[in-house]
Amino acid sequence: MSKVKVDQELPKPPTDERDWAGLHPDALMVIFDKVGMHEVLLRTSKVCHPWRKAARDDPLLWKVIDMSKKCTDCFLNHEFDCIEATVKVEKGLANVVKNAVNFGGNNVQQLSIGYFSDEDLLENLLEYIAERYVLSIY
Amino acid sequence: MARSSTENMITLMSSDGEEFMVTEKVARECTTIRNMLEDDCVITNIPLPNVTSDILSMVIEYCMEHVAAAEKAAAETAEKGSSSAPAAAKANKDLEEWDKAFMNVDVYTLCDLILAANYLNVSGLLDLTIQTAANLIKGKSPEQIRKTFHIQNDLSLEEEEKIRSQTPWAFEKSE
Repeated sequence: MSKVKVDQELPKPPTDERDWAGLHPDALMVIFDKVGMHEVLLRTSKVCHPWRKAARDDPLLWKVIDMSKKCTDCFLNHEFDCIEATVKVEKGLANVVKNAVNFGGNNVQQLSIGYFSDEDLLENLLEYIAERYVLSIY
Repeated sequence: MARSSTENMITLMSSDGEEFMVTEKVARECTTIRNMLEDDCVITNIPLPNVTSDILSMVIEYCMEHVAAAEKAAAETAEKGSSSAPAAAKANKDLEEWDKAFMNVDVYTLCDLILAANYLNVSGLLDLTIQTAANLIKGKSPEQIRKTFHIQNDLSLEEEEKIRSQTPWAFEKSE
């Protein structure tokens, strides 16, 4: 029986050690999956170019985009009166949905956008989404 | 194949040439090494050209602690016939506490540990380090994240402005 030659054993890992911007995208994606889609979209993806790219390329992160109000309420600032804020919040939410769609690209399998009181806004948003996907709406 | 009672020892060699002698059981915590051992059981010396001695000693420390905890649990079960739930819960909690203390490292070390855990395929350590990194990111603004992880902001002013306009003020929690 032969002893295994030693230097053929293991593949080389990426060389950008000790650098969080240059951490292997696969590792970043696993981390981002734990951080969660909402937070990656709104904060984590804005850190630097490599992180933006890793966020964008992460297939799991964008598989299900839930932007229904019920879900987004939890990270909206609560200091605004609901009625006054509705218009502003809906506009904001529409932007966030567009941004999520841009980030998610072909990785998106399911998208929930919830209720919009402003019909024009909703129509505009649906058009925007429809330009990118073949939709089945239910 | 019957296992002998005297454990095989394996020597792991770090990139900077330091040798670490560990039991085969501890080495097997690294799936990458376990696969190598299963392919060829006579290996006794494994060079790890991508792991420094500092990091390798930490990975070994982690593996030893987890092997010891598993052995202790198994011994207790064997002794009492069945495992007692409160004792097992306490042991789990102790190990969690140990993990938590083990993760009290700077972000550079954390980065190296993620790379090493991934390279050696130590799933428990990979989960632990990844979760630690995620916890460091959660709730922080981009600027706070850059500060925490010593990341240079390579976005131009125009890009930052564009990014800002894509997501509304209502979602930006500033300190």
